[in-house]
Amino acid sequence: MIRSQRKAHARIWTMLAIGLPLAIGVILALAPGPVYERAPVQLEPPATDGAGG
Amino acid sequence: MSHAYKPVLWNRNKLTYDAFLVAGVVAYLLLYLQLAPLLSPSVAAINAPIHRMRAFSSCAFLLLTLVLAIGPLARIDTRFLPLLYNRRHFGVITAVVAITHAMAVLDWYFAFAATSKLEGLFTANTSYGQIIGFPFEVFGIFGLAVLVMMAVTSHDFWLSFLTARLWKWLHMMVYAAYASIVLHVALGPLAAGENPVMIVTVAASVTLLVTLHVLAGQREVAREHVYDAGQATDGWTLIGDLRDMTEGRALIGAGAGGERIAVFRFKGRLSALSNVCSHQGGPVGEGKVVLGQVTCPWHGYQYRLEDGCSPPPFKERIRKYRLRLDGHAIWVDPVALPLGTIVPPVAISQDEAVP
Repeated sequence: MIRSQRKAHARIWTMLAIGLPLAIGVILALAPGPVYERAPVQLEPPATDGAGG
Repeated sequence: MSHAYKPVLWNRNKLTYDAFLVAGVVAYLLLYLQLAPLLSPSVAAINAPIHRMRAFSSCAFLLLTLVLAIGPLARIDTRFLPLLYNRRHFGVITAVVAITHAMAVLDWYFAFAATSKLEGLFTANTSYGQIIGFPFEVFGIFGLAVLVMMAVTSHDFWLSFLTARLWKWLHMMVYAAYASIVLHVALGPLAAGENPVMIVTVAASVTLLVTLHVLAGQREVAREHVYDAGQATDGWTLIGDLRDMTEGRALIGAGAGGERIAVFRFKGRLSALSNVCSHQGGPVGEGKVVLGQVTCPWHGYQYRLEDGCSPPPFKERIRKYRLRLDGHAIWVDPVALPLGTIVPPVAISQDEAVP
């Protein structure tokens, strides 16, 4: 490999080594827990404009 | 037309390599499809099309991890070089498995879209302003596009047509594709928090690849320091000591701009060539000389020691350098000679006598 490509490899893997764990960590931290740990969601009936029947 | 298409030159090694690859992929898919529902109740609960889609996606991700590990492994230990020999077929199979995953997604989630499936893929979720719930599909689409581009241009015709430099840069986009696919998985199934096995697999993949590349990089940096220490008195560079050389092998030093030069010892004579193979930039200096020709350890391209040219009918050429012996010290003029220049090898017995 020519020198510029070796340097590019080094830069790319430095960025990946920092960026990927950071990104995965942030996503996992923000992600909601498993379904059974989540608070139940109260669904409300759709609002009606009073038109009945 | 100078860039004629030549069919893939199949040989026993390539056929064996591909047979193992295809068998491995089929075995993985069958095992995943059959075993995963038995081992995990949550997997057993999902329907068959989604299960198949995940079998293909996990297979493609593991293949990509392996294909990216081959490069640094071959730098760390030469026993992995046979894996590098046919790495492009590995990449093509990875792209095929990834395409199968994408087709399965389109056929399941967007089969009944009001618009076309592809339009539905891009317009179903446009929440680009949030992390959780981000349309993770776009990262998968980008990664797949790069894999397909690489698979399509993997033949040596494109290497020759685009030139080795541009082709290499294009194919280095695989790192962007890998990052994109990790984000695709992280923002999709990992963010959904459904499967802890997936978190462990992705984390292990990233850790493995980063570690291997850091280790391989450290070895390269150590070599750079050795090369930098080669003093340049009259503009020539000290490559090393004759007594450190073995028959048919090379010492590697640095030339102008830090480009590497390989000095070979063969039948009592020394020859200096560029260390960079004209095919894909492989380390020619790590190859062995047989019958006066060095063979690049990556893909088997051969060069004559006297002029750096491949034997007919091949037309590849690498640069030659002038060298001299002062006692046991090997000196090289770091200025490369024009391609095809014939430089007579330096006889060892004569120059070793110099005090």
